[in-house]
Amino acid sequence: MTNAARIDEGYAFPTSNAISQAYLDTDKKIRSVSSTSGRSFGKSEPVDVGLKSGIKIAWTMGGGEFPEPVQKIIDTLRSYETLSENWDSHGSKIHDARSQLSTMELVMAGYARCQLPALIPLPDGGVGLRWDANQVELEVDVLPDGQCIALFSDDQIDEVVDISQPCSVREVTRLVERFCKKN
Amino acid sequence: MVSLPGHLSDDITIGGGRWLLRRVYPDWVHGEKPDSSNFRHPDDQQSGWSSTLFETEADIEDILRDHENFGVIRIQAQALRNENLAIVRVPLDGNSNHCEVYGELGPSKKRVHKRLKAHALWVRYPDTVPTNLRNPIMPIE
Repeated sequence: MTNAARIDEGYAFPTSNAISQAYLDTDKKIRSVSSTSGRSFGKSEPVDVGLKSGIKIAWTMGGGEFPEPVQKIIDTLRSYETLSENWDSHGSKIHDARSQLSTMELVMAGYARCQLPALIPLPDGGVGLRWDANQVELEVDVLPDGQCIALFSDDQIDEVVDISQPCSVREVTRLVERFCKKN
Repeated sequence: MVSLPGHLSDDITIGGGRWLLRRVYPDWVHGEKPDSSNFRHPDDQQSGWSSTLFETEADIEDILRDHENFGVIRIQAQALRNENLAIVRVPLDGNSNHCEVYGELGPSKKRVHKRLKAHALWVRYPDTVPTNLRNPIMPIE
């Protein structure tokens, strides 16, 4: 089974009311998350990464350390939890933890297939994910409730895919796959 | 964006070639470019999208007061009007050229955000943009 297939299976997990039961599943060679709790875990035991949503990540293959770039993303999300209202000075809202599961699913989809996105906090409490390489760009806005809107553009062939109506993370993952096929 | 309230109208005394300044939260960058989130607006707000009409360098100081680590971008009034957005002067204490931008973005908000991003120019980079990625900043004419 490929990494991609296993990650896709992860989308069967949870919506916002079951977030604490959720976990992501990947083949990356990782077995512990140390920076959030200092604990060490077995190779397939879901690890609570310390986010308010209670997301757990299970790494299904042992033998390696938790990758620093992914840990940085988790740390970034945790830093969003500390933002006070009006953090952007334009009336922004506090970060909504319901957006975290979709965010991490997309992060891991990118990590498994090609590259991690850049993250930005959004003024409505959601999270923006940005992929950009070789004139191909993917912008995903994870809304506060975990649904997504997205814009994919490939300037080389003048192609645009616009998902303006809030949709599931599974639908947007197809755009991550599309981005990664081109990079 | 928010619909233009009925008692307000686009201020046509602000010519299309005039520049509006927008304060940029330090993380709202992608590489060296301002991110499209600079043009997002929490939809349930009653006010418009905040900006300041550039008259003098003092306007830049006004909008960075108490936000020294933020960046500043500028965008021409015409670029906003091309997206059916209206500009209304709303002077504030300490920011006399403050304006609010109103309008419905239609079904494809992200496309509009992307087009606006393409028109935005840096006036001041936030510290989060590495110096080796920065382009020279052109004076506002």
